[in-house]
Amino acid sequence: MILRIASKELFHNMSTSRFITGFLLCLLLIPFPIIISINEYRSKVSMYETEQKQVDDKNIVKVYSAYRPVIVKKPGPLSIFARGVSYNLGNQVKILFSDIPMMSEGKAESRDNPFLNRFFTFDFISVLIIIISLMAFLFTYDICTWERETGTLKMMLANPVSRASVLAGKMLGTFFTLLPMLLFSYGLCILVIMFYPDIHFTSSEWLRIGLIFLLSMVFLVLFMVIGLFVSSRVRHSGTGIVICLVLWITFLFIVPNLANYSAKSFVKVGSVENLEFNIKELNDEYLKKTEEYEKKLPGADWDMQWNTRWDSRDGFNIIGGASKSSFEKIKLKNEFTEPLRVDYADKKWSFRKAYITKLEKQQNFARYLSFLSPSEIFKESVNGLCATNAESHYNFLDQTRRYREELIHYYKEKKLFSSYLYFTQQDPKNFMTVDEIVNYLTKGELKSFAEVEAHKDPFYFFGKTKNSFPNSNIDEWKSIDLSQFPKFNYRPAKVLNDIHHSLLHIGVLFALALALFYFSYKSFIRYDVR
Amino acid sequence: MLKTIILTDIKQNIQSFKLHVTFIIMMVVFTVGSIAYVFQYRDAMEDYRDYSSKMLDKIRKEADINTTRIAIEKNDQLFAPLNNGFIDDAKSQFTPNNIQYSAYNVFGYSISRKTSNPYLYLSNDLNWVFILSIITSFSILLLSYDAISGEREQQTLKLILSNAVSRGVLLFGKYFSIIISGVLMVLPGLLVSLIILILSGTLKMSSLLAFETIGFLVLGVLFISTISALGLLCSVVSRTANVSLLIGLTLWAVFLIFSPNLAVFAADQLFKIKNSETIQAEEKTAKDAINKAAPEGSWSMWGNNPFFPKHELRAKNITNLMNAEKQIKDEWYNSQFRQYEKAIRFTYLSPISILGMASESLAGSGYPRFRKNWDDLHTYQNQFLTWFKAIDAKDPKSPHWYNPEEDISTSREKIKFEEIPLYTERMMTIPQRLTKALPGIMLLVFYSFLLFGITVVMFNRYDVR
Amino acid sequence: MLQAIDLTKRYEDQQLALDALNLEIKEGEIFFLLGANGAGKTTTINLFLNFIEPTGGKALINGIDVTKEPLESKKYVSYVSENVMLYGNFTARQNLDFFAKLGGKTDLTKEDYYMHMREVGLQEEAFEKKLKTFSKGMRQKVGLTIAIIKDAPNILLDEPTAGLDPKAAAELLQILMNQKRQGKSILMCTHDIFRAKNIADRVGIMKEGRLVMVRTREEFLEDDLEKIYMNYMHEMVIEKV
Repeated sequence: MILRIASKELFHNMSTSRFITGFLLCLLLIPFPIIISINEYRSKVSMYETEQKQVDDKNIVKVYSAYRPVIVKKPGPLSIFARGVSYNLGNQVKILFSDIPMMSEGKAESRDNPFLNRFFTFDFISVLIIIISLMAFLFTYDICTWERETGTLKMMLANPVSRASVLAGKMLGTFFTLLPMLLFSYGLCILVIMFYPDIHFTSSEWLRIGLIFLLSMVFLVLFMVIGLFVSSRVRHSGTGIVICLVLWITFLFIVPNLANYSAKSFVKVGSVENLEFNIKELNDEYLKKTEEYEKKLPGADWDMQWNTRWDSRDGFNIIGGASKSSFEKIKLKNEFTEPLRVDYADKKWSFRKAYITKLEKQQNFARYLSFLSPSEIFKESVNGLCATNAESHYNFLDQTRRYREELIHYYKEKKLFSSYLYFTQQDPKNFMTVDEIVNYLTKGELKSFAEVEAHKDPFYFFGKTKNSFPNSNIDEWKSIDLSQFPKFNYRPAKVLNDIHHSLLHIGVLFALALALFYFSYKSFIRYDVR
Repeated sequence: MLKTIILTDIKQNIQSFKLHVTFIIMMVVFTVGSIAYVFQYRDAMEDYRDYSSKMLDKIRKEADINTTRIAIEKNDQLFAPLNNGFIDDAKSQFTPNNIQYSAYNVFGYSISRKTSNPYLYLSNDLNWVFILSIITSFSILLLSYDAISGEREQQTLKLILSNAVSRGVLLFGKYFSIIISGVLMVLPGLLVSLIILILSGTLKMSSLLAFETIGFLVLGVLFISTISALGLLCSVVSRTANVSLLIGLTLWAVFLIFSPNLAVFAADQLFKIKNSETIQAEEKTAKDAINKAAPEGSWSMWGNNPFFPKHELRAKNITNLMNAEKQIKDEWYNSQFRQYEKAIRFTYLSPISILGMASESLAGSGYPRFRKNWDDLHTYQNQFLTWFKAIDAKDPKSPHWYNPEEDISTSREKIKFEEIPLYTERMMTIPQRLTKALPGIMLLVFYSFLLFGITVVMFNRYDVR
Repeated sequence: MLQAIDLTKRYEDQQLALDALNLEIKEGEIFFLLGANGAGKTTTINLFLNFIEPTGGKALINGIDVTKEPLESKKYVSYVSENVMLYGNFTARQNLDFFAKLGGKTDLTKEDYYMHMREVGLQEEAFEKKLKTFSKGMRQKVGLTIAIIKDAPNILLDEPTAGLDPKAAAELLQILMNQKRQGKSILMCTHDIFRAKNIADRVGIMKEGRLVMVRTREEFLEDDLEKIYMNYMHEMVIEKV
């Protein structure tokens, strides 16, 4: 009996204009977002490849202080389905000793023209949500009221068929009316993706896609049940459609924006300026300490350096040539300043962590508020499965921070901070005193540093040089062997981990659907069919 | 006759369930949106004032060191939060709102991430434009989709036309009543919003703000009339109200989703520009060539002696490098401007997008604001450089070898902070804004006429039985 | 057989829609239930079909209490509603097929449906046409066909001739006579007093929820039924021509 009613419902639905409209909407609205998402993904991949190449180039380091690995996260193709926050954040994390990585860097926008951000484009899952929820409502808002209004409900119930059967049959029939639209949407999506042969999914990614499809079915059923509930509580189709459409607008357009805007307005994050100010103070403190320490060190006789490059930010220093006492002084300085640099990174981290915690708090507030809308719950779980939500980014950053700890530990263990190779490839055995340098460079014309100092004219010495400092051409130095250094291995969360988060969301959606179905059933039993 | 139709319809609409429900939703969103805006604006202004004073402190400190530092310092001109953000914010957090410049060059623009939380999904602010484009348009659709087809189903249409009422008059009466109902629905919300803003002290009336508010109201009415005509057209295209609703919803969804996606798609596929990797590569090639061709000693430096001869070579080299990068970048920036401007045209099919663009122009925010700042900063930069060179010329201790990045060969005298010409943003004038908004306004008027015209033609052939 | 024993329906607002109705319709009997609008005719049918619950008394279909065993009772009754709309996008045959199966007749063929539709006088072209193209008379006929196909021993009809032209109404009544001869109990609520004289075995008049008068065929053929009806309706007395 239920099957009879279901098949009647199915065939009747297929004869209505709503049915064709659903497919039309899918056809019109689904391809573009996917193409745009694919382009965004591809440009993110090419950015990744460029950055990776740059990183590989930079990794030709010649001294230990130059080795500051840059981790580049490979973008995942599942972002084509659900964008999440993946395009708000960059791919790169620089591993510095003076700072613990707070957020990723690098170009976040995958569009080269930042003005195009004015257009809020929709990704596949957003369009799917819009179409499927609208269609679900359009088919169920009058599931009780329409048959009542045309009198066919009475005619059905004049037969030995229970109200429960009628309800079940109609819902089943409607579900099988809407399922083809869901399949069509996914089919279109896969079809468009197949036009781009460079995009492929691993088997674990296919599993995730399958799970997203199952979730979509739960989502479809939930919205069907909401429509059913509304229909069972009203007497006229006209009222039903208004309530359903208003709910639709509220769930899909008002709640998400309201949640985010409220979070941004009511949950304070504190300014980045304050954070940067505190960081700067700590940096200044660190600089002062290093300067004081340097003053206490035995003075170098001549601070002239040949072919030197440095970067004040993280202690990068490469010196082609200098006097023996200069080299020794720098070595002693590094023994103090580099471990201190790491200590100060931890101090700065307390401020950074406070800032990130506030960001996370704001994001959590927005997220929980948005859960007033079942479509947002659904979207969040899909973002989780596609690893494009905030959690997966936190996970990635945690891994980079642990890698940094590993690297620093390695440096400390192998005593690299206090080695000469930290800043020069000059062999300590060949260090020259200042007199030796003067003698060598002037090919014997001047014998000692005192002679250089005696002349007030600073150009005097330069006029007399006939040689270049031996082995001081940095460009000709070979890069050092980094094969023993710890390397970063990104371990993305397993499918089970991502699901486990989403399971809670799915459970909520399911429970909601069941509860509403139960209430609808109770209403329909007492429904006035006249 | 016309008056009777209009008044009856307005009364019916106001008493209808659908208007009540959508009205409540709109009021809630207006209220919450305004309250949230008050908080947000206060925080944003506080942060901005903090930031500005820190920038000024930085310049003060630099002034105490030497004049050249002022000239070579790369400053960030961050756009201040506008006081009309409650009308429209033109996605200012996601589009370029920061221009970097020094006395020597306007380097480029970026999106300052200081104001946005990257872990939040992209979303719209609950400002007036949002409420109107999404909620009001939807409720007008609900009001108007069954204006004709619904009456036909109720059998009242033939009853009305059995009197001495022409079809045109009837249709116009319905059209007008929908517009009035729509305006009546929105007006209380706007008033509540204004009251909240004024009472909280966030809003200080000025003639400019009055212009922006009134301008937006006019735009809103035009938008409402376009959507009303659209809804009425849907109603006349079908014999049943359900099909009218379907058509209306489809069009609405298409306008909302299709339009921005189409614009980006067009930009990506039809109006391609070079990507940043190519630009970086071009810059590198140009810079390498310049470095190669630079005479021997261009990189030598002797910090304490400005007159060290190699410093002139260094200055020239660095200037050449800067100009090479500037040329490549400026060309790229212009191509971005052109791409964006062309992409916008694709959105003009959707009244929702037109509303956004026109209100952006009226508010003097968004892209027009950016372009104005961009052009004004270029002018300022030239003036700034001229000023600096004049100061430098008076300093005998300077060799006057202008180096855009270092203070090794230009004046090292201290300077008083008050003498430095600072850049202040000038907002677009009212005539300028009206000019920019005019295309959108004209288009909305055109659409209203066109859609209503088509509706009249179709209604004349409508089967009222 | 249809039985109503002290059947009462009082709504929450104390409105008494049906006041202790006692009625028995035997096999092969056509009973016309007349009365003004709101007198309680439709309420009676709704109570028999368990669309509403009685506040007193009981309704029995073939001896089965409709409130205690609703599904069982519905096996023995067919129903023709006022204003038959059916499923507009389905053809006449598809509508028949669905309701026939619901009613328990699962092994009818297309030819069976066609035969039944011919019997009620529907034209051949209409069999596979969508119902939204049908006139009111044609739709009533389809509704009647649905009731006949079910072949239940009792038939309930609510204003089946309202809005029909005289020829269609006569055809419908002829079909009812055929059903009566097959031994079906028929309860028909109507305003159509003129037809009552043609085919009713008994006539009942309802006023404000009460069955105020019942007359057998012999009795009302002698009386001036119209005059009696009008008196009970308190309407303007029409001059008898």
